Parts: sequence; C-alpha cells; structure tokens
Amino acid sequence: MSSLLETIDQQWVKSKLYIDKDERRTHLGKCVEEVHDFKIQLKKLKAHLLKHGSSPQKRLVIKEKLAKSHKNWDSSMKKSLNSSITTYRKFSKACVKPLNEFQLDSVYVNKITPQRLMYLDRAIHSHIARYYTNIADGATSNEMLQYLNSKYRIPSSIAKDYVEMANIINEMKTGNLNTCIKWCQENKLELLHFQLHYLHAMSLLSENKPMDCYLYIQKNLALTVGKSSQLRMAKPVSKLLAKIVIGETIPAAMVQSYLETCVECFTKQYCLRNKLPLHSALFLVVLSGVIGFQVFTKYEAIRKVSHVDWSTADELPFHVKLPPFLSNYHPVFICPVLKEETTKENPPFSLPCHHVLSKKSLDKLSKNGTCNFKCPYCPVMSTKVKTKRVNFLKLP
Amino acid sequence: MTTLNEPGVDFHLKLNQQQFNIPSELLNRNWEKFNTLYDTYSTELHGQFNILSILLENSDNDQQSIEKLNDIINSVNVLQKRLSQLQDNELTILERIEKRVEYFRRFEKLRNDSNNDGLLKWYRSYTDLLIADYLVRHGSNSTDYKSSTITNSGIDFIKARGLEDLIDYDVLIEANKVSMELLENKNLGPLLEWIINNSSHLTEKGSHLQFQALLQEYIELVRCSDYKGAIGWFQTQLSKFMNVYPRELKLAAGILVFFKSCLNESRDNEQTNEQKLFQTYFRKQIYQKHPLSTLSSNNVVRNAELSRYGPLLDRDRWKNLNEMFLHEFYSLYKISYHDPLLIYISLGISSLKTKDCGHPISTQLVSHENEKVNDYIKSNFVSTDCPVCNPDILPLAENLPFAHHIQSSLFENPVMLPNGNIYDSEKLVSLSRRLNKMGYTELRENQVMDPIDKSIYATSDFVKMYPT
Repeated sequence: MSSLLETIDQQWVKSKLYIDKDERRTHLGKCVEEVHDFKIQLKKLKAHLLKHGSSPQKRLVIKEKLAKSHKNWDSSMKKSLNSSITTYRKFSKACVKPLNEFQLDSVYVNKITPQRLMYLDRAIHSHIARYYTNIADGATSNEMLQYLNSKYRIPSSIAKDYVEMANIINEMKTGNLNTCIKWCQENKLELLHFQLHYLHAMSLLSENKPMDCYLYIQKNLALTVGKSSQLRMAKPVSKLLAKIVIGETIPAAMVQSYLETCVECFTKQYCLRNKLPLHSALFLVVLSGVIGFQVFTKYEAIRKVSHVDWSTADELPFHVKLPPFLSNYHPVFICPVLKEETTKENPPFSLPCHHVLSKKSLDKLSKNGTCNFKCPYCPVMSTKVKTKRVNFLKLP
Repeated sequence: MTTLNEPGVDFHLKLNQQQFNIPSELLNRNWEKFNTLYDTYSTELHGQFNILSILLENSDNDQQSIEKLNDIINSVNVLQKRLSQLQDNELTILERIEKRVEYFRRFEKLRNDSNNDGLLKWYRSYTDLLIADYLVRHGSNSTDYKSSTITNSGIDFIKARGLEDLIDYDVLIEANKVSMELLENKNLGPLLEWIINNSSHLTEKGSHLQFQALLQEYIELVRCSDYKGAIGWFQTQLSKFMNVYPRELKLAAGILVFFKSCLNESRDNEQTNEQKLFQTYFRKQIYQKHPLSTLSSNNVVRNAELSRYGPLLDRDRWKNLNEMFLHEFYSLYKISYHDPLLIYISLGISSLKTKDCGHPISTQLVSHENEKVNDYIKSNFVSTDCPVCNPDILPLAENLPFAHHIQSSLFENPVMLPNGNIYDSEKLVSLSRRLNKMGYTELRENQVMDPIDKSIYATSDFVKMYPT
C-alpha cells in the first residue's frame, strides 16, 4: 500500500488544500469573496451617505461604520492570506519534501556523449512514428508524412512504414472495419478476422439494431463458429444472441474497449508481418531505466555513506533484475570460475567433459598450457590442447 | 507482484518530484503576487480612507466625500478583478496537482491488479512525458502570431497526446526561450529581465549570474565599438560590484583601451592545426621562431598583457552564461539540471547492455550457395530486437558501462556442433525442418544445418553441454 500517494491524495488534494473541496474553495478564494463583500458594504454605505448625509449625526455613524468595516476587512484579508501561505508551507513539508529524498542528477554518473545526441533525435522519431503516426493530421498518406515532417522533423523514410497501419487504425476508430477485415483475409489471420466481425456485431447491437445484428451474425460469424475447431469462439457469440433474444443492448463503453483490444491485436500482427518493432527501442530502454533506477539510487545512497566510489571497470557494480522480455536478447555466459562474462577477448572453452570455462581461467588452471589439470566441476583430467573454443548462439 | 519488477508507487512519485516541486513553487509565487497586489492596494486604500474620514467631518464636503467614496469603490472593484485572476491561477495549479495524483493512482491500480499490458501502456505515456520534456527543453521555438504564444515540437507533442496536465511545459519553455536567445541570437534581454524578476532568489543563493550577465552586456557594447554606451553601462550597472569582483572589473575597464589590439592579437594567434594539436597534448605553447624584426621589446610587453583579456572576449562565455542560467533556473524550481530522458536512457542502456551488444551475428555468416537460404536466415534469425543493438541507440551506448550479471542466461537444451557452435537443439532442428519445408534445402531426417557457417551435421553429432 502506498503511504505517500495516499497522504497526498486523501489528506491534501481531497481536503486540506481547500477550505471546502466540493466547492473548490481555497483561502485565496475566500480573500476574493471578502473583497467582494467589502465592495457591497461600501456601496450600501454610499447609498446611506447620499440619503442621510445632511444629518451630522448620521454622517458620524456612517463615518464610523466605514472605518470599522475597513478595519475588519483588512484584518480578515490578512488572516486569510496567512492561512493560505501556511497551508502551502505545510503541504510542501508533508508532501513535496519527502519526494526529494534523492536527486535525479546524482545517479547520472555515466553521461551520454553530447555529440551523439543526433542519434537520440532519430530514436525519438522512430518512437513517435511507431506509436503516433495515426494522430498525424492529414487525409492522405502524403499529408500525414508531411505533417510528421513539419511538426517533428520525422523523415518520411522512418514514418512511411507506419502509414498504412495508421490509416487502417484510423478507419477502425471511425467504425469502418472493411480495410482491416480485408487485410486479415490477405494475411490469413482467422482469429482477428473473427474478432473484427464480432466487434461489428457488438456495435450494431449497441446502436439498438438487434435484427441487423442477428443477420450480421448469421452471415459473417455463423460459419466460423460452426467449425468444430473454433468452438471456443462460440461462447461470446451465444451471449450476444441471448441478449438479442431477451431484448437487451450492450453499453457503448464495452464496444469501445473491445475496439481497443482489436486495434492492439491488429497493431501487433501488422508489426509482426512487416518486421516492424513491436515496441520502440527508446521505450524499452526507458522502461529498463525505470526498473533500474531503484537499484541505482540505492547504490548511490550506500556510496555516499560508505565512501566507496563507482567502480572504474566498464561494468555496473550491481545487478539490475529486468523482466524476461527485456533480458533474453543475447546469450550471457558467466565463467563459473572467474565469475566474469565471457567476451571476444576472453571466449568460452569447452573441456573434454563438456563443462565450459573462460579462456582466462583455463590459462590459470593449466598454467598457460604447461600442465594437466582437473575440471573444477568433475573428476575428469584435461590439458589445454583438448579444450575447444565454443560459441553460444541464440536462435529466436 | 507483477512480472516487470517495476518499482513501487512511492518510488515513482519520488522519480517525478518535479511534477510536484514545480506546482508547489508556482503556488508560492502566485501567493507572492497576490500578497504584493493586496499590499499595494491596502496602503493606497488606507490613505484614501484617511482623506475620506477628514472630508466627512465637515458637512460642506458632501459632494467631495461621495466622489472619494466612489474612487474607493472603484479601486476595490479593480482589486477584486485582479485578485480573482490570480485565484484562477491558483485553482489551475491545484487542478494540475490533482491530475498528477490521479495519474499515479492509475499506476497503483494497474500494479495492484497485476495488469501487465496496462502497465506497459502506462509506461508508454511515461516515456512520452520524458520525450516531451526533452523536446520542450531543446526544441526550436516559434511564435504563434495569432495567439502570441510560443510553441515548439514538444508542446505540439504534449497537446497531441493530451498530456497537458502532467508536465509544466510553460515553465520549461520559459527557460528554453532565454536559453535560445543567449545561444542563437546573443541577446541578453530576456535573461536580464528574468534576473530582475528573480533577484531575491539569486541573492539568497549568492549567485554570480547577475554580475556575469551585466558584464557580458558591457563586453558586447565594447565589441560593437559603442564606447560611450559601454562607459555609461559600467558606471550605472557594474561599478556597484567593485568590492565583490575587483579583478574582473579591472580587466573589464582594461578592454576599453586594449580591445582593438586584442582583436589584432587574436588574428595573429590563429594557429595551424599542428600547433593546436601540440597544445592540447602538451598543454603549452609550441616554441615559435619569430623573425627578428617583430621581436621588439614593445611587442613582447604587449603580448604578455593582452593574453589576460582573452577570456573576457571569448565566445564561449555565452555558453557558460547559459549553463549558469539553467543551473539557477532549474534549482529555483527544483528540476533536475540534466534532461530526465538522458538520465533514464543512461541507466536503461547500462542495465541492458551485454558484451554481445553491437557485435551482430551477421558479420560471422558464411554464405550458402542458395541465395534463398541466405535471405531466409538473414531475415529470420540474425536480427535481434535488442534495444541496445538498435542503430539509433547503439551510438549512445558507446561510453556507457555494461550490465553486471551474476548468472549465465542461456537457453534450453544446449548442444555443441562439431564446429564449436552451441545452440538450443530443438530450435536448431526446427529451423532445419522449416528450411526443408520452404524447399530451400534437402536435409535428411536426422540432419541439421548450422545457420552461421551453413555446414550440415547429423543430429548424432550433437554433444550435450553443461554450462553452469
């Protein structure tokens, strides 16, 4: 359970920052109200003065009333102003200060070379093109490319791969599924094909056209559902049919969320078929950065108190545990003796017993190939000549 | 627990301290304005009320009293309008804070529900925020003349993505505006204006920014030969710093006289590349043989003196001034000086980078006589989705450290072929089946092809490996 977010939300944003949260009334708001009330009072007194000004007694009363209301107003303004700044200060102390436990800059030890930032621009271009070509203004593909180029300087060489996908997505969002359905047929994607027809049937029912929906199901879905291999698809369809029978419709929000599911499925398939990245590289790097950040700040905090420095080796001094989909791109072999990752200069070697060690540890065990040695993991004896350079290769 | 191993909600809040630091500072600044405005009017009204009460003593002044009271009502009316504008500002800022809390609430819910797809989507918007921040900080600005607001690609991106409430782009663009004027147009105007508006913060921090900016203005006046203006500037703006920066001011006065000679000097000093190289490596001037005629004593004295003025006239002063400004600006709002996007990228790359990154398998490929086999293997087996190997990211990764691994991470069923290549046996067999199926190869049932060197081996040649 999050305590800080809870405090900020429940205690402050939903209450203490306001005098009355429901009316969104703050201390400064109260000040403005007080100015208004004061103005009304002055106007009233002015009317009095116009009416009774000739009587010296009444004038005296008005004079006193004016002075009094001015004094009251001034003191209540000051009070409200004071409450306002006190509230801010307390908010800052309770909510903002705890957030500044560490500085972002403090973990930025290994800096990116400024001369290389033009590559970052390209990575940003690819990111925007991958995810947001469909928000580009423009009716035609060329107009979309032009928009991306003029707004973000994305070259069409990067954006052009995504234009067809963006067009199909935009059509889907306006309720036109034909192009996408055709694309599915061409690429023999039965499941998505089915889902799209199902989506259309859903939208017909939500528009309260049960007969159209029924006919559409009969025409486009019945055949697929009928096949014995596709039985699992029958369940949602039968639900839909049941709704027709009992005269219910489905909420538009449900159609919308199913549309989003379909868009996502389509995007995935489109990228897969066209060998486009499913996620932009920049996104994956940033995500790894977020996950790694906790370890970096922890290390930085320890480093500060124990005065150890960042190790000078070209390797991080700690392990960052990334999820499987971010960590299985390359085979990593750690030499079990030296606990070092093997490299081109220090490649892995296989012993006759098929245990694998790095070249460096092999050199140490065999005293640079001058003597026999026992495998550190089994009783088999070996010589350097009997070892074999190996190469780990990952097949997708 | 989700499988992303992502940090907790509070940690995310801390990572995004600037999303709360800025509004908090803005609230204070808005209050300052509110308070100052009230103070000004309050003093004025006190005076007015005093006059009014004197006027009211005497019944002859009825007409005047009414007029005075009208004046007062008008002032109060104007005050109300101006204050309610500032109060609207306050509500806008408070709403931003609320929207941000909601944003992290959404994350909290996704995390509690272990909704991985949802989390990835949330992180995509998170990445977009970082990109937007980077673009706003560095984008070139253009002024929209219709609404006379400044815009750049970052702001366009924020609006297209509907992220307006999650990033204080108005603050970032203010810094960018001053910065761009300094670097691109060598214009000190916006900087000097900013310094005046924030002088209390600068004095509190004991910043050199104000002096350096004023000095730069002076240098520019000298540079364009406006000596009268320069002297005037020195007298009105710089002389008050005499006690704090005596050395700099002496030099500044000196360039008034030596400026022309300094220019000639720098022309004389145009070095050849060879000399520059020598200088960078050995950090001293290369010994130069002067022709006898120029070695007059006068010349020597002149050379020695003029080198002192070099730094003042250096064009890099603009860059330093900009850095100094950004430091002050970002520290005022408690924003990180470095671009958050770069920080995340640096950490992310280092967490991902293996020794294998940037060594594509494609360079090891031996080509097969059948082009189709080469193409098939190239397009299906060689490419990696590794983000660090991406051609746009790899150049950024060059100087960054590698990830630290404590355990091997290989694949299932490793088998060694006689050529020393180790593969996942099932995947190797299935690759060979597919090549046969496509009609590219005619491998027998028990044969496989090594996709790298294309040699053919029998499955009985497989050696089961035991990497630890």
